[in-house]
Amino acid sequence: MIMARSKQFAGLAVAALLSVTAEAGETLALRCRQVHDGNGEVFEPGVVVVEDGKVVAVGQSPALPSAAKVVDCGEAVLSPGLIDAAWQLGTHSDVGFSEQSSEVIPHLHVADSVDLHSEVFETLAREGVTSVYVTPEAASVLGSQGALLKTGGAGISRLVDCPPSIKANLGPESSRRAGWNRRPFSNNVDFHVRRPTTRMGSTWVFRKAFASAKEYAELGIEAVNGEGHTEESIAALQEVLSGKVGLRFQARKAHDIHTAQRLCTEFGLTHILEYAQEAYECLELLAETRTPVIFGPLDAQARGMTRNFGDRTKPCLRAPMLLQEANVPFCLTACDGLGESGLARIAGRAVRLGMDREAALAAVSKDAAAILGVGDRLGVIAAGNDADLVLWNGTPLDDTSKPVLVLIDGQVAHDETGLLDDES
Amino acid sequence: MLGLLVSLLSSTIAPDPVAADRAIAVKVDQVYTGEGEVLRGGYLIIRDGILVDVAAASVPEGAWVLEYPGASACPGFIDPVTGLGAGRNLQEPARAVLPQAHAKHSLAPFHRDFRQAARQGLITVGLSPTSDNLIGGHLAVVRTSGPEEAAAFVQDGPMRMALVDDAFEWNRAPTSRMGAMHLLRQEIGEDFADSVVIDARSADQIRLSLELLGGSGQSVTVLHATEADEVRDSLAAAGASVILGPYTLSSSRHDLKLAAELADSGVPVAFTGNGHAAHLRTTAALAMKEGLPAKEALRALTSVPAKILGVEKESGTLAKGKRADLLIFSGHPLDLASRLEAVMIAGLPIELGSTESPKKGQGQ
Repeated sequence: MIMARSKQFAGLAVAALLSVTAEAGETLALRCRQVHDGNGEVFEPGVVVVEDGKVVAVGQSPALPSAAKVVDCGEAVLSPGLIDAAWQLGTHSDVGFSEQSSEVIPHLHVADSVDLHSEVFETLAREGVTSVYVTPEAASVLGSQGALLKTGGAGISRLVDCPPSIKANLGPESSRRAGWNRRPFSNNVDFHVRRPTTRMGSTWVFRKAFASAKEYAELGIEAVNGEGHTEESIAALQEVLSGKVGLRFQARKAHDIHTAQRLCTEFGLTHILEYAQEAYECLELLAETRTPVIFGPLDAQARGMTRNFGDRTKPCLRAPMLLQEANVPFCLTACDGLGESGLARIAGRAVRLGMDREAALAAVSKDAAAILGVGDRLGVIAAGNDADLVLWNGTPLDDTSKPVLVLIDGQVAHDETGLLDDES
Repeated sequence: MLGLLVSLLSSTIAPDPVAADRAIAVKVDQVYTGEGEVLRGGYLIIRDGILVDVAAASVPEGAWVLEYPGASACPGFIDPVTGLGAGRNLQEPARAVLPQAHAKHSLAPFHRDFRQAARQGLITVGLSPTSDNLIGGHLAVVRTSGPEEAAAFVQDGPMRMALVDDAFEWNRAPTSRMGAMHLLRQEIGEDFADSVVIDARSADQIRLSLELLGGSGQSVTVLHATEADEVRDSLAAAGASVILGPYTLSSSRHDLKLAAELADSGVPVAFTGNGHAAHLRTTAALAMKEGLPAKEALRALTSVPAKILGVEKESGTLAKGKRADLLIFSGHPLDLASRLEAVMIAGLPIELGSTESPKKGQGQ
């Protein structure tokens, strides 16, 4: 194995002697067998030029700045860094993610619950995932605002700007058995008791909160603390009503997808669907409303926090292809999967099941970035975009390939090649 | 031999209230001031319970002279975070945010924990609410031996906070860290406490503590700080101090090295021994084993915790004008082979109690 790898990169030992580093201010030109840009284009051979954490040029043989240090990556193949648009960090964290004290908490920020020093980010980077949108846990009807993070860097620098959105959930996690919700019994009364315990209860909470927000806005009066909401949560919902903050629905089952659509029509909202395992049953509706779908994981087995609470969904392995055929904007998510359940493997399985390779790659890069509203910076290897790059030792997304070098904002986040080692 | 000499001396100078204004001169081989200095060859002169000189060449006329040949003196130990004598009375689960609470209301002055602590050399302690609240209330600064051998409340200590898991309850709002941060940002404003001790263990909890506090000029002390090595630069930049310990022989090497690493980065380190002077000394000795310089280790038991509790003007070092709370050890104070020979509180030696076990038939 080591032999094979060293043979593969034999040509690179020479380059390594040139003491190439990825230091700030330096210009790197990565030359490899192929560059998949994430936008459907494959350059063969391909060169990507990186400067100050950004891509400055990409192509078969783009003009190289005179200061550029050329790194010959041999037979390796470059792709954009993968993006997970609905990552459940909560299952990898012992930090409290679900706020049980209220079912309406759109004023809270998941970023405050993220352990920015968590080792899971290094694992993700090693698997080629360079950005994750940390989605709130599904324990609230109207949950908190998510956060977009790079898996490289350290501490607070991981957090990056992205259009804000809150997460709604009408499924069982927010009502029946999630966390500690329960119906009143005996004399055991605390704040869990008053929470909704049915889907219609959750829907009622959703409508009540948005109706209050709308009414306060229409009457032009400042919100006050009321039943089940606070002035802050009402103010946050008004931002959703005015379109400044987006809305995501976690809806695994088809009837949840329909409810989400009904509620959004009622309040004049647009939304994104998370997980949506039965989306293939609502293709017409989704195509007609152009509702973006963050689909995953592929095997339709609920994972993580929702594993024990989720209603059973009917799996359909062809769902990504069906979404694609129906022209529904979608991307793929690993939910909280790593390793063999990770994002690269999920996209790889979609290829095996018949999806076009470039489309599958786009579904974990460009399309995810577009749904997150950061398509102008991430997801595609193009001049001006962040230099989030993955070098594979074979064809990207194949079961037999793995990331051997990962750059995030031009900085090395993972390196098995020694290509960028400073040997001076 | 030395013990015998000291006990003879002690018996001859039993506290005499009539002669309270009489000067006391203490002679030891080394004086560890608690600020890193070592003084040799002079007398410590005490008047009215206050140190008036720490390196006097001669003895004032009429002074009691206490000589401890071969011994050394250091400031009385200070443990910034203890629950001495309070049992569960410092653990209040009613609310997550309880800045109105004050540990002084849980002070049990006649509890034997305090007498025991004083006899072991632990002179000043912070009585602290536990980590069961995000904001737990004020610490109380307490002298373990005041009038009538009872513990005495001295002044308000820092505000106690926690971001660790203990601060969350499944049935008490908030249940998530994002909920906690929202609440704390509202609570911590301009007129929040000047000084805060916050229990934060992971690197991320420490990051958030520094983000929350210090903005309005608070002095921040991070309690436990297990992963402080990952964020030591930001701790140093924020001027924060840490409280580590207690360490035992089974503490991990990472934990033991932490004190040396932080001190090296310019972060003041204090130790806690959960209210036991013996644990304080063991903690300091184990940290020294992993590279903490002796003078930093002594600081961690004296001047640094004095600063954390806000009593640095009168306690924590042996210097002119400070309270004469001092410990006499047969050797270096942090050498575990050294014996505690005498404890002087405000200039007066206290009874250390018998080290022999009671004889059969003699009830005590």
